[in-house]
Amino acid sequence: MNNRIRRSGRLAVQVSRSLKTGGLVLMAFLLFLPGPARAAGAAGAGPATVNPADLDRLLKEGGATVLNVISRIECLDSRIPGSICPSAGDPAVLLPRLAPDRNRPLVLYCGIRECPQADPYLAAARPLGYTKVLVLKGGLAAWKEAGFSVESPGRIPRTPRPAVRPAVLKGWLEQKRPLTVLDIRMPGAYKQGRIGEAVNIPLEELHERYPEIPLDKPILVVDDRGERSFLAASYLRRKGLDAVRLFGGMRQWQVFLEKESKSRGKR
Amino acid sequence: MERLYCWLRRHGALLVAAGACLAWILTTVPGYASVSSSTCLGCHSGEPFKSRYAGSAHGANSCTSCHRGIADAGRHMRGEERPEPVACGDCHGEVARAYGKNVHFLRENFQCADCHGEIHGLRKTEGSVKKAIVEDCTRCHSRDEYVAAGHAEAVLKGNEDAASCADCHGLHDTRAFHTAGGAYPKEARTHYTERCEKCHSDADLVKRNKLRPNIVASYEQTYHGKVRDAGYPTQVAGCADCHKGHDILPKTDPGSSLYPANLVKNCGACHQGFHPRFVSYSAHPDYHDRENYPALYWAFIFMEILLGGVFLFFWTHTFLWWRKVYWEKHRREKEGLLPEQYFPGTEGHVQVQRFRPWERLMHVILIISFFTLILTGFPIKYPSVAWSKFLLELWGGNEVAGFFHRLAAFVLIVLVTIVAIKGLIYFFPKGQGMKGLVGRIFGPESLVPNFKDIRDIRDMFLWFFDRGPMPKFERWTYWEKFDFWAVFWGMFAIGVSGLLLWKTEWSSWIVPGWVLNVATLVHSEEALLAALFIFTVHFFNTHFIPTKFPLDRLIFSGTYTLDEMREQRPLEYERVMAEERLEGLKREHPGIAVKLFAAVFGLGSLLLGLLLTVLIIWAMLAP
Repeated sequence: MNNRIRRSGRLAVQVSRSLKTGGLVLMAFLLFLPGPARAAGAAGAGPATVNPADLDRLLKEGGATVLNVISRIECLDSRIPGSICPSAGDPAVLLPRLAPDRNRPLVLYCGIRECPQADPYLAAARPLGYTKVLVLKGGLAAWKEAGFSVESPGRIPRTPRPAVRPAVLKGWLEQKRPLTVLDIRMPGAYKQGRIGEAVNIPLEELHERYPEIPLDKPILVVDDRGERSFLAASYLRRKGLDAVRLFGGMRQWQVFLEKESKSRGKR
Repeated sequence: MERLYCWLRRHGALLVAAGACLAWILTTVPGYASVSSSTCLGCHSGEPFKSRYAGSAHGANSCTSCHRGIADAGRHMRGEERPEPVACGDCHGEVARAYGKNVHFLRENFQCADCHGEIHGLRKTEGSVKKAIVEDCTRCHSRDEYVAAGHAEAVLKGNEDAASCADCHGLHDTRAFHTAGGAYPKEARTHYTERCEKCHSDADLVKRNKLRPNIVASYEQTYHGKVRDAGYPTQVAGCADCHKGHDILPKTDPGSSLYPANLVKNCGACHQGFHPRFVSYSAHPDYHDRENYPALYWAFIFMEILLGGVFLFFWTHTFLWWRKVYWEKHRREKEGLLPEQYFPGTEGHVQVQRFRPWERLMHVILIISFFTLILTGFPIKYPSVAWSKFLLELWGGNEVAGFFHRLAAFVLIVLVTIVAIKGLIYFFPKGQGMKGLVGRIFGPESLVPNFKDIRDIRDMFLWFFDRGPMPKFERWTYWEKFDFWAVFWGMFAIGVSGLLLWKTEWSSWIVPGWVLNVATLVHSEEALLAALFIFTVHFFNTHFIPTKFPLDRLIFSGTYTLDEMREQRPLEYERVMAEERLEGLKREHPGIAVKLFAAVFGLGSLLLGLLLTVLIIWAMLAP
């Protein structure tokens, strides 16, 4: 009996010891476990990026082909000196012509934050054998904010273009006021959601397709965040078309609709 | 004439060389190699260049001052030489530097002329610059409410004190977040609140425009203002959250966000689940305004009297006590009576129990919760001082600090509840009910004040001035009773106000919003009273008095010697002896672990308390 008690006591001591050791190992493991953000970052790694200062160094050393992949209108209006403004078309066809040296770094950039326009180029560059493809972090805005100069080979003179608030636009739509909503976002975004019977002419194609815009109704230009519509409206003004723009773009429109449905729900 | 001829003969070669140099500079160095304005006007003969330019703001400059890089008019006319882009920043350097961060430039590539118009005819603004700015901005930002009401309307009507677009959004340095408050909540709220405060804290401007004085100072007294000051503007309302951005109207106007009928919606933008009377909370309470905030005013007066009275009495008491004991100690040392010699093995050296183990444990928990409450609460009470930001960052931000504040408050509430239950059990012991209740209430073991305490206070002051002996104390002295009841009063004042402020929306179902203003004041002032009382009065009475300095470990070890009992609590000693209870109170000498814990935890707490006292005084003296 006593032996059994002693044995079970020893067992208890061993179990408690191994639990302590196991606990310590588990804690050490948890301590060094990579955080979720880090793990997610590794899994969803985006394209390689370059910051404005490094791009400037790269250009000074003479070794990069820089492509402005936003619209041609925007590119000619303002671009990094020496960069190329490609016309609309298949990147797989355009790239070998614009950047024949496939070992030379290829830098793509857009206007501001995200750069979805670079995706087709990135997809085309890899099979074509481009060894180093980089996307400029923060786009042209970051380049300018860092104090680097830009050139404007074909600047669109800005003319005052009034902005319409979402609440006002809603009133117009309810009154069935004659209006052509010109959506200048990428076709993908347009397909996901649009305002009424909006016409989609991406800004990338506006210089070629603006004659398609009906002339019998006032035009309202809608973009993603309200940051590209002013240029588009100024461009149209130059072409003889009067257009107003949606303040804050589709993003503001969606915020407005959400707020409205919430307050309706509260009531 | 003759002299000139001689001079020319002597220096002619030098003059020719200088002329050649000048000609070389003018023809080759960029900026000097240029054609005259009259040559330019030969072709560029349009209206702006010919008639308006000379009288414009830039009229004193030649064409090539801005349109550089044209050295040869002929080559330029043949299209072989184009001017460089105009760089306004070469002259307007400061403006250009600011504009380099402007959202209109970064995102929309606006250039100078896009706002300043046809540059060749540009004239210096005549009349109100503010008015010109409003008119310029609203060419594109043509929202009705920008100019229909509020500041911009006042500018257009000629009030130069009212804010133009540029006063809030910046003129050339309009930042990205100005147009997207949702995307940059911290920067936007910080920026705009500061812009509003700049004008509304200008006493002359406020007086001139008959605005409400102290509007900024009173906002900074509220939770909104304090958390914003502490560096967490995203968690609280800034000016524009309640007053809105452009359609700022007097609260008597039905279109105003502050119009009584609009307040529920206005507050509801951030707060959910409140009773409509929640909106009687004032976001700008003025404690000094008896007419508009009577409850707040009287609560303020009451708290001031309470704080003043408590500290006046106890600081005087503490100072006189310290003086008496220190002088006394000095005298006895001088006469060779100190240090006292103990004879080992005598009965006076045995340890007797004063505090039971659960009482000691509760005191340790009380210390931890008390410090947690102070370290999480005072950074919000004094948000502007440097240490409050440091402390909040240590906690991991305002919200984490708030969580621990509530956790510690819960612990304290539990402690006080246990003590209250224990007290009731003492007063109404099982089987006795009301029998002998008065004796228990005012008896020697009770913490309830009695007439002897009043006599003791009188005798103590007489002793301070050598007019009598030190009074003989029973188990609990009057200052210990005050300490005990102060916690209960504190729990009532600070606890009830804290519970109301715990979840203000829910509290509105019990009390109207203005009570939350009073609760904020009471909570804050009572916290100051509690902290300073413990750190300056309790610490001295119990630990820093020269006979016990630096620490009386009694509350941690629970025991002291019989001699100490005889000296400090003579009446209790006599009672214990008379009742022959000494044997039951005898305990073992405290172990080394208890002594070490008392030294480390006790001294640590005392030092932390003293440090916090310095920090609080620093905050109170800070401008």
